[in-house]
This record gives sequence, structure tokens and C-alpha cells, in this order.
Amino acid sequence: MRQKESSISRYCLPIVTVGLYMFLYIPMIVLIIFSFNSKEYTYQWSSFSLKWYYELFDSIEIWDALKNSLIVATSSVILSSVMGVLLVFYSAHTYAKKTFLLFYGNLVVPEIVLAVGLLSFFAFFSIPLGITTLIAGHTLVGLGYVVPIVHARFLELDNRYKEASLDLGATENQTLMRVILPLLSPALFASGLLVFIISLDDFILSFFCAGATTQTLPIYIFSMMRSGATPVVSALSTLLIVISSILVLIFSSLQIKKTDMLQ
Amino acid sequence: MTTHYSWRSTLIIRVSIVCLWIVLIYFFLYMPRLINSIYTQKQITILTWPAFIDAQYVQKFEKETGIKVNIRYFDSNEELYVKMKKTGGEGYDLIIPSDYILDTLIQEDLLKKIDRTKLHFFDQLYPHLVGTYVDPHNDYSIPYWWGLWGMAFDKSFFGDKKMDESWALIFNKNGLGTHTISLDDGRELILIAAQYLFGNVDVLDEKQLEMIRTLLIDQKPWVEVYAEVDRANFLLASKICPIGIMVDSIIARVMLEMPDIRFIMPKEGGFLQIDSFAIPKTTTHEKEIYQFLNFIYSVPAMQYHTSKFGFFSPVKNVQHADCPIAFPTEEQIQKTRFFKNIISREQISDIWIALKS
Amino acid sequence: MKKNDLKNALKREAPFFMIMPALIWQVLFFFVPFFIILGLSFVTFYGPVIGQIVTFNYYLSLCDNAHVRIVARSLIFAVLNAIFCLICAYPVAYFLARRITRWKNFFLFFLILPFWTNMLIQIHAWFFILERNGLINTILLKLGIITTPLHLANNIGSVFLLMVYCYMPFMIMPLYSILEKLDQRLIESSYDLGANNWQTFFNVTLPLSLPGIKTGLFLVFVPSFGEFVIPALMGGSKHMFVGSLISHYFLMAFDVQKGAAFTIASGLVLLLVFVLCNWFFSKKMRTTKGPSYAAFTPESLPSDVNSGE
Repeated sequence: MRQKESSISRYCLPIVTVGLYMFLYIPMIVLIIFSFNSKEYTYQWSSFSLKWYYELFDSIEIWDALKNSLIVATSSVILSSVMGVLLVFYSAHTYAKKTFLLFYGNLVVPEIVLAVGLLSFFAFFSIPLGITTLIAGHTLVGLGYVVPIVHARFLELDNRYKEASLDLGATENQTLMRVILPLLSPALFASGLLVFIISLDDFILSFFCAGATTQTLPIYIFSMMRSGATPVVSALSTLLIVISSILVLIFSSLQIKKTDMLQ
Repeated sequence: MTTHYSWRSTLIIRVSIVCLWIVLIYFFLYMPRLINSIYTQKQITILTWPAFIDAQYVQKFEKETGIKVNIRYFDSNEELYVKMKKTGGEGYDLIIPSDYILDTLIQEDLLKKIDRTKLHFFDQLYPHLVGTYVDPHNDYSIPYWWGLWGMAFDKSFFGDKKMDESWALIFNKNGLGTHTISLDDGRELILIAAQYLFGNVDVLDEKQLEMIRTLLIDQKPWVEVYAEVDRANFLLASKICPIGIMVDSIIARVMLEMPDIRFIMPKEGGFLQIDSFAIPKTTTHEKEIYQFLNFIYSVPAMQYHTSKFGFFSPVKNVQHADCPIAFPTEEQIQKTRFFKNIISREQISDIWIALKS
Repeated sequence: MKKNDLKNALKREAPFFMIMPALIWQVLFFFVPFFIILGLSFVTFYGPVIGQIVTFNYYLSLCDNAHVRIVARSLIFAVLNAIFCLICAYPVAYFLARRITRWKNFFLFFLILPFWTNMLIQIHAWFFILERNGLINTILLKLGIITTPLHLANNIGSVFLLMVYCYMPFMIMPLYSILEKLDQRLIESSYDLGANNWQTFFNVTLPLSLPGIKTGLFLVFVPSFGEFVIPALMGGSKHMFVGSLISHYFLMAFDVQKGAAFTIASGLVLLLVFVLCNWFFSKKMRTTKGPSYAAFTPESLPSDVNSGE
């Protein structure tokens, strides 16, 4: 039975929705357009030019920052996924089954408090700040995403798979590798992608924990913006928006596939 | 079949597992330091401000001598100081502190003496850059970058209006009709305010600090942005704000494209800042350091860097092609002062928090 | 057979071995730092000799005008941000969840995308719109509506605007998620029982979506409280917020102990507000007008209601 639509909801809601989408997208579209602007010191369009993109590809600092960002992101994803899965699988049905609750704090606490805590920790134990401290921080945040997601999915899995596998003579390790992991893989992939993107975009934690000499992409963009943004930043931003879109596309198609599979 | 497990063996095993993981994680965190200490020969690491040394030009040096140069950037003197204090500058062979931090570093004995006989260019340096109050015999530092602090404004906005050549343009808003760009660094802004209010003093007492605080708070409604000089540069060039505190060598970059921009030194004197090369005590690559210094101060290298980054060369006989700003006159340089360490960090912090809250 | 015992013991403890890395990581990098900060805020170190005196001095030094103003400013901004995001996001989430059938995935994709864009890029993009010779001013000047450019960037209003912009996706997602899962039959029963659109909305849809609202408010409020990038870049670095002050203490003034005290104090303020809101929401979720509609699950309704589609 169809519900009645009041006139307000028929006209207001679409207008508000369109308004919100415009609010969300106009700045980004303007940014993309102006990354092709040929003049440097102006917010007004003069002519089309690709020179900022050429400068972008020539810049050593940007490639260095990109390299660092990628290393940190992949390491965090691998570390947090592996540790998270091990925790979830081996603590299920044992005395340690509530330990996953400890990980909810990572997302609840504001990131700056985490960052400052880590900074004090590293200073206290005289650990030099660098790529490894960055990876430590990002993995921490990653664990905060991986453990709840994988744990929720793990609970949904029928426990009989694990029991059947053990009954058929597999060891715990084999059960994990051959049975549970394939079943968990959508959740693992989704959380891994999530952690990857969050690590790439992360600024606050990196700002505090990277030290002066390691730069990730967001730190580089921030320091560029603080010292007078050249349009190279706009060009870089455009490329990052494109890359994010591709990643989100992959992510969404994963979700769609999952719902198709369930049907 | 259940055998009786002693809880003691369980405890021992668990504790050793925990210790094992902690050791592994510790090892992981310390990895860079270990890698650095193994990987020693034939390379130097320089900690510098951005836009001081061109990473691509330095590859020439690498080709000539086979010494690899790693350039690392930092953007705050306080950060450099804390690094030096905590680790003695371990891992870095050359640093470029500003003068007031250099003062502290020398006093705390964190730097290595420089053997001037190994430097071929030393007599080519401008006289006003050597023998400063910080390092009267240049035992620890060699000046590299220098600039004069004054004000820059956009003539097209102000037209024919007579611009009072004084810090009052920044601090006293009567009739100026526009916002201004102020400085985001606590120490420098406070010292500029002190110069405006009291002239060149070497000590600031509580009452004077109070007056500075009031002046800055009064200035705040007219401040467009508290920005670093690089950003101020950008804002002036994009015609977002027509006046601000500026360093001459930084605004010179922009004046080529924007002929309307003028730079003036205030009648109170302005400031001179010198960023110098210094060698941390912990370095072991001395031979390579001197080779690099001789390379970077050579006339072709200086020519390249000054035209690329637009600062005034510390070495004589370097042509500043198309420089829109005249080289500072003796008189201008004589009137300037240095940013000295006359107020403590706590006092700066207090004023800064009161200002920004 | 000591070797065998050892092997058995190791095999037995293998699960412990496996779960330890994650737990140690968490303890080492989350809980230990917390205690370090707590400790730093209370003790005073006297020189090389670790003479520690427990003192409240650092907390007392925070009780001055400036700090209270900063915390209050952050709090007000975070609360307003959360409420404003809610008001703007709810209609959109409702529309997408309940009214759009065909291009849902398409719209969803474009909704998620800003969520994955770096905040710095978003701020940078807004400069093109708000600055003195940016998009808005250029258009208004060309249309002749104004003669001098409006001062839209680098002030506290633009900071608020950017906060709403950056945190809007955090509000939309939970709202959309819960509105989508709303059982259609409950809404229909409401209509069947004679309610009009507004009554259905206020008495059925809104209370049922309260968990999503709560999640959304939380996801927006907590990070907004600790925000410092937006005031630094878009606010002209003119106003300090909680995040800016913490960053100042740790990275610029290097007054680690006062910074630790301030972090703990503002953390407590945040916790207090959070607990209050939680209490408020659980009260709301328990008391509704009459029996809770959420109790009427499809299974509990008599079978003939379900069969008549």
C-alpha cells in the first residue's frame, strides 16, 4: 500500500537533497577546474594549462611523501589485519573472548588525544620519531577498525564450520587458513580498504608522530598550505580525489556484490 | 585425556611470550636508528628549511664526489632545538638554525667547532654576516641565508597615500582601512611589538610585557591572518590582503610578477635574521661536510640557489639577476637588530595563549 | 619426557601466543600512553634526580580566563556543529533511504565520496569559494549586488562552515543506515491506524531512528571537539580551540606537563558531556508516547495483518 506523500515532502525533500549535494561538491569541482589554471597567484580563471601537473611529477618531495604514505598505509593494513584476525579467531570461545572490547577505545577517543599520548610515549622511552612510529600509530587506529568489523562478521559465521573442520582432523591453524579466512575475506577486505584509505588521509596522528623529517602526503599538503599554496597542491588534490573515487568505487561494488550474493 | 598442568609452567610460558612480543615491537620501533648506524660511509644528512638547498642541484655534488646527500626538512626552530637537546642531533651532519636558536645551541655546547682553514670561501662572505653577537669568531657557524624584516604592501590598494615607514602601519589601525597580515611566530611578533613600543631594548620587564600583550590584543580585530612569511607572500601576491610583515628576500620572489608590491624598512630599525650552517657534536662525517660546504658556497652553486629561491647570497660576487629589491644598504643593515633571546618560553607562551583565546 | 611436555605446553599456549600481539599493541600504544599523560600531569620532576612530587599545580594553572574560554569555544562549536549537521542531514538521509528507489547506488556513491576525501583537500577547495577574489565574491561583484568583496574567509564563521562541511558525511551515514533498515510495515501500520504524515514521522520514524541520530551526533561531536586543522588554516590561526592549544603545548611551547594536564582536563569535559547526552538519549529511547512501537515486531502481530499486502 503506497504511503501518502505530503506536498512538503514531495518538493522540499528533493530540493534540500540537491542543495546538500551541491554544497558537498561545488568546492571540489571548483578546485579541480582551478588546478588547470595557468596563473599562480590568483583565484580567478585565466587560461587552461597543465603546467602544475608537470611540476607535480617533477617534484622530489611529493614522490618521497607519496612513498612514505604508501609504505605506512600498506604496513598498517597488513599488521592490523593479521593481528586482528589472530585475536578474533584465537580468542573466540576461550577465557579471552571479551578482549575485543578493549579495541573500541581507539575510535571513541579524539584522534588528537591518541596522537599526543603516542608522542609522550615515544618521548618517554626515547624512541626516535620516524616511519616506524607512524606505522605504530596507524596500526593502532587500524586495529580499532579491523577488530570490531571482523569480530562482528566472525560471530555471524556459523560455528559449525569451525567445528566440522576440527572434527575432520584439521589443526587450529589449518582451520584458520583454509576455512575461516576465506569466509571472512569480504569483511577483511572491506576493513583493510577502510584502514588503507584512513591511513592515507590521516593527518592529525601523522603530524604528531612523524617527526620533522618524515613526510606523508597529508603532512606535505598541510605544510604547502601553510606556506602559500601553489596550484601544485590543487593538482595533487585533484589526483587524490580521482584515486579516492576509484577506491570508493571498488568498495561500493564490494558491498553490492555482497548483497547480490546473499540474495 | 587431561594431564595436570602446573600453573607455574603456564605462567612462565605466558610471561616469556609477552616478553618476546614486547622485544619484537621494541626492535621494530628502533629499526631506523639501527639502520642509520650501520649505513655510515660516504653520505651526509642535512636538516634544513624548505627552499634553502635544491635537492636536484645537489645531485651534481653526488656525481662529482660520490657522497650521497640526504636532505631533510624542518619548519620550526623550537623543533630543531628539542631534537638537538634530546638526541644531540644524532643522524644529522649539518643543521641550519636561526640566530636565536644558534645562540642557545652554542651556550649548551651542542655544536662542533668549525675548522675555518678547510673552508675556501670564508673571506668571501659579507662582513655584516660574520662575527655577530651569537658567534663572534664564527667558531660554530657559517652564515647561509639572511634577510631583513620589514613590511610589504600593495601600492595599488593604497594609491598615493603616504605610507608611514614605521611598524605603526601594522599595529596602529587608524585610517588604514584594511586588514593586515600578522606573524604566526610568538617570539618574533613579540619582539617586533617591543621594538615598536620601546625601541631597541635588551630586557623586557613585566610591565612592558603587559603593554605588548595589550597592543597585540588590540591589533587582533584587524588581523586577517596570522601567517608564516611564505604564506604572507602568497596572500599579498593574490591580492587578498594588501599589507603585512615580511622579509625582503621572500617578497622579492613575488615582486617580479607583481610590480605593485613595495617593501619598506620601518624607521624603528627592523630586524636582521641570519640562518647559518652548524655541525652537531655527534657527527662523524667531517671530511664530507667540509667538501659539501665548499661546494654549496661556490659561486655557481650560490648563483643557482639565489636565483631559484630568491634570497640574497652570503657570498660576494654573486650576481642577483633581475632582483627587484635593491641590495640592502649599509645604513639599513646598521639600523637592524637581531631577534634575541630576551624573553623566556613561558612568557611567550602565556602571551600567545592570551592573545589567541 | 621433558621435551614432550615442553612441546605440549607450547602447543597449548599457542592461542595465547596468537592473541598477544594485538593485545600488547593496544596496551602499549593506547593504555600506557594514557597513564603516561596522566602521570605527567600530576608530577613535577626536579632536575636529574627523579624527585617526584604529586601536585595539582598544572591543573590549577589551567583555571584562568584564557583556557576556560578556549574549552568553552570548542564545546559550543562542537555542539552546534553536531546539531546543525543533524538538521541538514536528516531530510537528505530520509529522502535517500525512503523515497529513492532507482538510482540509489549512484546517489550513495556520491554521498560516500566526500567522506573519503582528505580534509585538507576539502579546506583547500573552500578557499577557492570564500576568498576575497574567490567564486562567491566574483559572482556577487559581477552581478552588482555588492561593491566591495565580502570578508568570508579567515574568520570564525568560515571555521564553522568548514566544520559542518567536513563532518556532514559522518552524520549522513549512520542516519541513512538506520533509516534504510526501518521496517516499512511499522510505518504502514501507523498509517493504517489513522495517523497522518507528520504524526507518523514524529511518533514512529523519529523515535525509531534515535539510535542512528545518537551515533551520528557522537561521530560528529567527538572529533569536532578536538579539531585544530580547520581553525589553523581557514580561521587565519586567530582563534585557539582545544586541539590548537594541545598542539601548541606539545609542538611549540614544549610544555609537556601543562599540555598533559590540559589534555586530561578537556578529556574529562568531553566525557562529562558525552555521559550527559547518553543519559538524555536513553531516557528518550525508553519513554515514548504509549507503548513502544519498536516492540511490535512483525512476528508478534497477528498473521492476517501480514497477509493482506
